[in-house]
Amino acid sequence: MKNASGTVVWMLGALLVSILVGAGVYFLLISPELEKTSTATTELESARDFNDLLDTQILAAQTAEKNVDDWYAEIAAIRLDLPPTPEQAAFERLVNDSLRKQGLPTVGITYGTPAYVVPPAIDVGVAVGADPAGSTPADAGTGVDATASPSATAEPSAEPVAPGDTPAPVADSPQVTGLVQTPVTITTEGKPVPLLRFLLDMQTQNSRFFTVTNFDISRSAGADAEAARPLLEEGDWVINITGLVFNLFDPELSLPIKEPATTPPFTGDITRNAFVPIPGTGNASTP
Amino acid sequence: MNAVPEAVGAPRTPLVDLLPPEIEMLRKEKRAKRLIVVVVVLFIALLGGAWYSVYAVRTSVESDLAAEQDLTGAKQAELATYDYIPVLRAALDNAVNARALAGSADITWATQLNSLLTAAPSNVSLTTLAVSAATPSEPLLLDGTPFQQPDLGQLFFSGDAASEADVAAFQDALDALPAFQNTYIASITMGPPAEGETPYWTFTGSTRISSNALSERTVTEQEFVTPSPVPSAESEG
Repeated sequence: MKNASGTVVWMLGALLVSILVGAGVYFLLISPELEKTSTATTELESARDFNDLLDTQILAAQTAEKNVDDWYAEIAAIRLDLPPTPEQAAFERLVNDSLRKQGLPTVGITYGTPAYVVPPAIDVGVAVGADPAGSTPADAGTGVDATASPSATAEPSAEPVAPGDTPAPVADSPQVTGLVQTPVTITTEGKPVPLLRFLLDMQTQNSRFFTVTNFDISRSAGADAEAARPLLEEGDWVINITGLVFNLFDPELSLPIKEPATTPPFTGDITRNAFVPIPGTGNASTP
Repeated sequence: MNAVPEAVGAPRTPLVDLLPPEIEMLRKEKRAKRLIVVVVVLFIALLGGAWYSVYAVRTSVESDLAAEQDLTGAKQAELATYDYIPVLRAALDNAVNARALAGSADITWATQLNSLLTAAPSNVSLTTLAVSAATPSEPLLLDGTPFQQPDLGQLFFSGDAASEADVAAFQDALDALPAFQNTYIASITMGPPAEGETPYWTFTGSTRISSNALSERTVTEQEFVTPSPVPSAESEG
């Protein structure tokens, strides 16, 4: 009996030792490992998901990159219309060439001050939609995002606008930053067809975007031909055209840094006097 | 004591267990204790094996994690090479929107003036035409009357007519044009009478510019220009 009870004591002791060792190993060694494994597994899944997301983004970027050349080309094309710098001299040449092509005199050109265009708070489409006539020129297959045009976003509506109502703001205009407008007034005179051709030419040329916002035409009473001004007959037009030319401000291109250079010093030699009147002009004959 | 002869065939060891039961019990107890020790050792070994397997899994997962994180860094570096694309796309969108905004109130006036001049009755002679049209900043205008509708501005005109009916005909002709609406005559006055001359009436008025007049040329491709009608010979002079 004594021996049997000793074995039982051994068994109980072994069980106790096993429980203690098992608990110790579990809580001190296995459990922390399990926690670390669980944390690492969660992080691994997150990392894999994130990598999948990155793969998707890289794929999207690679797909988008195929269009980059087209985008650069389109931006370059738009910069023709909306150059980053004023390019006023080029516009003057454009106007003068266009007038000369039609045999029209440049009676006067005046420029206003450049200012940022503040996009309207309302959708231009309201006007289109409210127009009972409804139709606007079709623009199918242009290849350019039609939503970029405020007028293209409107749903046509035959409902008239209630008297006294102002158009309800339906949507913000496209976000545009850096669009600068400069008013230009061109005065010329002549027969209607050359004048209309000049207007058409100015509004359809591809050198610089020009939109006419105001003009006034008055009937000429007739005038003799003068230097650079052809004969005006009764019924000819005298026209002042006010329009806008635009620039798209680009911080990298709109503020060019002048290369360092020095002006040749005055050496005492006579230089050209730019105040001398141009020979043959009215100013030259003034005493 | 003499040895048992071989011929007897007696067993070499005694066949009767002569050990006392206490000895046998002690031996059993020793075996039991040894077994217990072995079981405990095996249990501890099992625990060690369990720990090692968990450890191995953990190190494997951490190794995979490290590899995946390295991959993340590489992918982020690769993605960073495409950072210019959203910037470029934004610049393109801004440029396209800017061009659309710049032309949002654009009207091809050569075409519209030509249609107006062509539509004018032969007994009407214009003396002035003036336009105050919408701009990109102010694309909608209202005339302030109960009949107002949002439009693109106003065209003022004045002229001479052979009769009052010709003024009305001119008004109808303007309203019939797609680009103009709500033509309003402000005054009709008999011209200064002159001896032997045909009587005439001077008139002034205005018409509103409808959205049909919009050229929409800034929503087309930059390289493409819609051919516009050339002014006809009728409008000359």
